[in-house]
Amino acid sequence: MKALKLCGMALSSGLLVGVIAGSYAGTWIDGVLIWREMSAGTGYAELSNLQYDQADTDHARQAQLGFTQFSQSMSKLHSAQGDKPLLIDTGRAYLRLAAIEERAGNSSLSRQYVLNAQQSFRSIGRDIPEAELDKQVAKIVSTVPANRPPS
Amino acid sequence: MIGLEAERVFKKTALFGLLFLVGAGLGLYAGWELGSSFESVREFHAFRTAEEKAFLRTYESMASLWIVNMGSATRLQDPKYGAERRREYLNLVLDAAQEGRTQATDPAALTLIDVEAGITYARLAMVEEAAGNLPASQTWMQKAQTTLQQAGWKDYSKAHVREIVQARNRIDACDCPGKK
Repeated sequence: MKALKLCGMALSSGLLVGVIAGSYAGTWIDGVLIWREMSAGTGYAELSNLQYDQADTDHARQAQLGFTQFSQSMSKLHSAQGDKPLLIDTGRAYLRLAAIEERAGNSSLSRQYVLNAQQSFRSIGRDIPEAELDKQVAKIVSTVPANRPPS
Repeated sequence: MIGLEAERVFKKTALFGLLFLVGAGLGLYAGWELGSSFESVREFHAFRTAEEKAFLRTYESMASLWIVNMGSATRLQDPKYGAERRREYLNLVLDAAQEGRTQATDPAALTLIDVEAGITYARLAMVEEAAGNLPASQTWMQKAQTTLQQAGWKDYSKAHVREIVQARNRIDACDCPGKK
């Protein structure tokens, strides 16, 4: 009886120590989730920026719009809660969209994107005046990506 | 007499230790499952609709593609790797892109996956060129140009694609200014 008690004690104390250690170790997966979140966000942002620089207007617009929607969905991930660079990238994508629409003569849509950019920057505590953002859009509009025609 | 007592204590201690370890092993597994499930639920609980689940598939594809891409690009910078090893790394990126194409539904993301594949074709062309396999190099470069043209690139000439890929090699391998 005494031996059985001893065995039960050994097993249950081991189980208790294991569960505590395992639960703690299980939360390390949080780091993996953050790594994946950063990779997805960075990958999408880098490739959409490459498209903005290299592709025609329709594809550039599609890529930037895709990124802003992707980033919006990503904000629902728990791992994205502290990802301020993602919000900076989103703000900048909205400014590029504003520039695309400005070039296309869609002023009201361009204005909407500037306001979206302002909102994105505001969410990380950067209150940038609209006039300042307008200047940045004008700068982007004047910088036409240098592409040669296909040879 | 003392020897027998010592042996009895030793056996008891060994049994206790063994059972403790068995319990700890089982507990560790159960605890790990519990902890990681909690983290996964906390991460993805907001994604319930079909549209949100479709986003998650795109998200996972993009994350996997970028992780493989960065891993490969970093290794490609190392001159000690030969053509065979470089081909293997780049084929991993193509596999991830292929997997992404079957998972992602967002048209913008699909185009971006194609762009990444196009750049990888160009990298393969450069690997083959360096290895002296000119026909293979030309085939890969042609594939790169076609893919990038379909992705809307204004300039998909060989020279331009090479220039962009060389710039991307530095970016993807984090070969940034100021890096030691």
